[in-house]
Amino acid sequence: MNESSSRPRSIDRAVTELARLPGIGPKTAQRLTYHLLRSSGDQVLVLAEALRNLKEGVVTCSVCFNMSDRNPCHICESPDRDHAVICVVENLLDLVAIERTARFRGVYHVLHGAISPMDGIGPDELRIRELVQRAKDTSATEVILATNPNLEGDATATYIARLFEGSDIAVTRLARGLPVGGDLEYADEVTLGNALAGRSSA
Amino acid sequence: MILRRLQLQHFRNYRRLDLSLEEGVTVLYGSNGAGKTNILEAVFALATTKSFRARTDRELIDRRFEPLDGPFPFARLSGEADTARGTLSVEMIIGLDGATDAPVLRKRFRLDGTARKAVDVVGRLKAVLFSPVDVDIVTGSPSLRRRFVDLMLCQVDSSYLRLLQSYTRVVQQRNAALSRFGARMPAQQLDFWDQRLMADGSEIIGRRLEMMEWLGPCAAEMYMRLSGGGEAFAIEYVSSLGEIEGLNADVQNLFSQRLRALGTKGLEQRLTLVGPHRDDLSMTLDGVPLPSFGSRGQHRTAALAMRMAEAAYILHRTGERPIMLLDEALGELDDRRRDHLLDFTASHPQVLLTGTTADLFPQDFRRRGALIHVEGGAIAA
Ligand SMILES: [Zn+2]
Repeated sequence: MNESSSRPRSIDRAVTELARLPGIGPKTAQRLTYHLLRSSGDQVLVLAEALRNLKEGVVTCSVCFNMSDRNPCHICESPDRDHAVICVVENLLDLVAIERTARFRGVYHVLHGAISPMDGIGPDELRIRELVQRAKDTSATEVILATNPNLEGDATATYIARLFEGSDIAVTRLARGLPVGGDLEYADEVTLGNALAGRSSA
Repeated sequence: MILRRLQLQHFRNYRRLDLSLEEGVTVLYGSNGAGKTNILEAVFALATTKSFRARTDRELIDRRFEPLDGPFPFARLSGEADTARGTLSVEMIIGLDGATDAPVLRKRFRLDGTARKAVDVVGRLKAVLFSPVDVDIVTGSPSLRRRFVDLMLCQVDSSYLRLLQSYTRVVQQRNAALSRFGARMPAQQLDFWDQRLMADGSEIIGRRLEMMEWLGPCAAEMYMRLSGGGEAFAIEYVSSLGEIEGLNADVQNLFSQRLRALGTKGLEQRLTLVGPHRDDLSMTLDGVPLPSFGSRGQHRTAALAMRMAEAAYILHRTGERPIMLLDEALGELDDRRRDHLLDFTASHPQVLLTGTTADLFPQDFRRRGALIHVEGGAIAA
């Protein structure tokens, strides 16, 4: 930023903080900052308030590791859902994507990542042990592995499937209607819904 | 295949270039540093998505751009070609990608105006580059020979590039897991990576063997023609898995045996010691290893023969004659080899050559071709 020396420090700070967010580069951060500067005072305050409350009002569900405003979360508490069918996803956004299909009536388990030795992530860094324990404790009948259709997602699914070998729990994987190498969260509802319906044994 | 038009913007020393090209021979001449090779580099990059000499993408952008955090620097290359399947336009833009925390240079591509990934662009435009450093394929490290093989296969089959990328990542992930656990590696954590290593690895080796089955005899024939007969040149695929008997060999089984034989030694070294990423080509002349015993002239002839075989292979697999790019490739050759090379390239619809003066090329060659004088990043009148 060439003009950084001449403009108020508060603007620089806002640009720097916004640029830290994923998907936002320095150019976008700058555009957002100047947009906020031109917006009404109320609008900026509402945003600030929303951000301030973001962390306070959100807790991690101790059953499925979803984020919610209560623990256990809405899904884990719902009597309308089939608690014997657990869908395993890498991230919160994958859970949101599957919910959007409105085709799944079971419950979730969020791993918070995938196995990737390069990034220092092994099975112990994910919520895998909790998954196995939970499936046994709740007498689950099916575990659906909805990890991303890429190398690390496959590694994670394969590893988890092994852990359930010899148990009575059916382990399935999403059908391959999904673009290979893609991310679940970017799949459209129809594709993802079909993949869910056509899942196969892992 | 004929490149009809090449446009460059902020590429190397070209601020802006709009070059129309003809079928047949085009000689680009001018002093050192004028930008002749940059034109060949641009054509090669549009064909393969990579430069043949830049170590970083930053080098490809005009140096007159200010530092990276200033005005946003970029380079744009675009080519329009006539192919057997109709016209084709390939575009490559090297620019800052703001979609990450720390902006980095990224290459983006368009094929016939539509944004595409690099793997979908590789090999659409087909080109073979002859360069003085080709001799390194013969005398250099095994990685250069693997690159020769891989780049050729990528140009004829984009699924090979996907396979190679996937395999490379498997090796990286496997090595990362090994470096964490070493000999104490839990079997169930290694299992997946081993399975993928063997599956992708044997597929890669299988495709390379199939290619070598065709390329080997072809390169031998080319060597014979270049040298005027006498010596028998042979190339063979040498695998880190050991001897592979024929194309129907069970490579995956061999791979698994080798991994098992390495046992804890492989784990302790914290590296993946066998697989296509450790394979090589062996070259011999009358049965004698060429890299260590041949003369400089024999090395040069072998490299030339391999490039000519590469062009023939691309035709064989795709039915399309690639664009011939000759970068100062005639310099060290004697008359016989030079004439053979020029004859061979002239059997292709389009040849682009560079040289410091137009006199380097034989008279009749110059008469048949178009002469373009390059000076200071521009076409001189
Ligand atoms: Zn929950």
